[in-house]
Amino acid sequence: MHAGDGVAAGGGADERVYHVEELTRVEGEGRLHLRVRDREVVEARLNIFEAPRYFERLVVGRTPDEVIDIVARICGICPIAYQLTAVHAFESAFGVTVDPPVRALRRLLYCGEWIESHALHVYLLHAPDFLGLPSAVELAKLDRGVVEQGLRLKRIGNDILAVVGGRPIHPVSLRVGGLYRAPRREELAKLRADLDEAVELAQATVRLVAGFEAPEFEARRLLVSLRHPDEYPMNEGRIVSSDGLDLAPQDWPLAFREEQVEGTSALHARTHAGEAYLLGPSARLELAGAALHPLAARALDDTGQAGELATNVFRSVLARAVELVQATAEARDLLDAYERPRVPSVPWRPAPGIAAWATEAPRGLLFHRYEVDEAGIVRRATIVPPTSQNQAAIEADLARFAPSVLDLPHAEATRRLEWLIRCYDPCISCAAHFLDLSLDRDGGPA
Amino acid sequence: MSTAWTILACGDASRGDDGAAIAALERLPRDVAAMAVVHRVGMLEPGDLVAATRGGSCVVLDAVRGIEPGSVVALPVTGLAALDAPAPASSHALPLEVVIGLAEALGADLDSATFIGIGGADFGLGHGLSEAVRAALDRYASRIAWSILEEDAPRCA
Repeated sequence: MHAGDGVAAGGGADERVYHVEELTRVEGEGRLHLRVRDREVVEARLNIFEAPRYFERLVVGRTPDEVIDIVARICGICPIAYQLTAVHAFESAFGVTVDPPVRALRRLLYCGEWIESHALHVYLLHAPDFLGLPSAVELAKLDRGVVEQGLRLKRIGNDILAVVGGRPIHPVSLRVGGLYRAPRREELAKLRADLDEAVELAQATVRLVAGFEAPEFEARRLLVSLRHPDEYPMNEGRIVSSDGLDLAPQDWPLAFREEQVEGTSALHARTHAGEAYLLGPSARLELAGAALHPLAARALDDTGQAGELATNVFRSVLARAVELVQATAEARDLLDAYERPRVPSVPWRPAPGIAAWATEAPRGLLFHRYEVDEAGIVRRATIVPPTSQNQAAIEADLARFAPSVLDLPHAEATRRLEWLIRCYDPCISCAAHFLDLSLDRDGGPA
Repeated sequence: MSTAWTILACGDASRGDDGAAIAALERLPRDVAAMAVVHRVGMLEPGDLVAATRGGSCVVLDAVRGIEPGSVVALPVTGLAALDAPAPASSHALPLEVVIGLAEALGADLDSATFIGIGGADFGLGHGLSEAVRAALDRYASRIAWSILEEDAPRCA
């Protein structure tokens, strides 16, 4: 819904202001400002005006296990990402090694989160764009089966979180050293048949989105993700990039930095050379696709579109669908191999120093860094979510894409710009949904 | 009994007053409880409403924010999408108006769905029910029972 859509006179006869009051289907509050002069975009800004949430301050003075509960509250859609990144950071710093069954359970949790998050985005947030519809509600009226398919997948992902994590939103089972409780085999067995169905639904999702027509758009960005030698990256691996970066997950600051940008309450991240970079499903497939589950690899191959993922961000919907196959198929394998841990957690002792780690949230690489004192109390924290890392790439891609829509009717032009923004699945927060888009055009055609 | 009833109890018993709906189920008279199929759904999803209203009536229970703790409110489920409606405490990820819109588009008969909520005071993890909610649980349960019995009672033409 675009309340206030329309063209209004700006400061002069040759300036036009495009204003969209509301963009739904993104998480959080933000505003896009585009300034166009002589068909050239001279300014593209995604301003996040979501109120600062102070999580990095809230965790100061807290113990590691308290931190894990607190950071889960950063996002209702990807709480596991925040929890697991913190867990791994502390375990890495304290020299904690968990048993393989605990590691498998954590990976199963992450699969559940990827399933519910990707299903939400593909079906309810992004698919309406490709079908020229204003919302998932309209999509449901047009094709009920498609939306039911998405909701079913999302439910199965949530069910995994509920069984392994204790509840579907802000799960409570994770702790430093393992889990508070490991489910019995019988509890997980309830999910088994559902995961057979989920794999089929995910494969159908790939076929569905492969048929979506995407705008022509090519922008080659620096891609960054984790890569692991034995598995598709989720909670472990090294930070790699399309230009040859190869770092331990603790060493994110060696390659990237955050900076304050005027007009936004989120920090932007760039490489130390000032380059924007892209995280998320397309980057993961490009950099770590060799480790895809065979079913996911086949699903991607069958589309014949793998070559477009790295350059056309509108194809990110396909990458996300392929990762749905990855997460459902791997979750099923994990269930089949499950052995209940002998003990759900191992004891640990705090050690002073730096606790840092990166994992792959559904939207991309998530980095945490904590300074911990002798008692294990956090004294300083830095959390770098994927959306703040993608923000510079979003702006750069908007600037590159905008000229192609300037000759379109206003409503269609803005719809396409919003569509582009949603390609990154921006998770500005899990709070209100509001993005205000304005486009100033001066010196260009009316 | 003439109507097939489904109770959708939203919330999380480990999160303070978010567990009010689940606690209220235990206070329902046995004969009333026997009239309904109960699903503990955590957070409300469109599919829950579709299934629950298929050929029957449905009561959605949840703790709400924005009203006096312990006070009980009942309204049609479709009324929850209004801006000034009480906000259920358990709805995440999909905004409630989207859940309701999707449910309708997917065939839910929301005319037969009633929301009964209780104002919560504290949704803290591990806190248990607040005094205000604990004291009002019987009133909440009786409102739920009344809704089912009243709707189910034979009426003169």
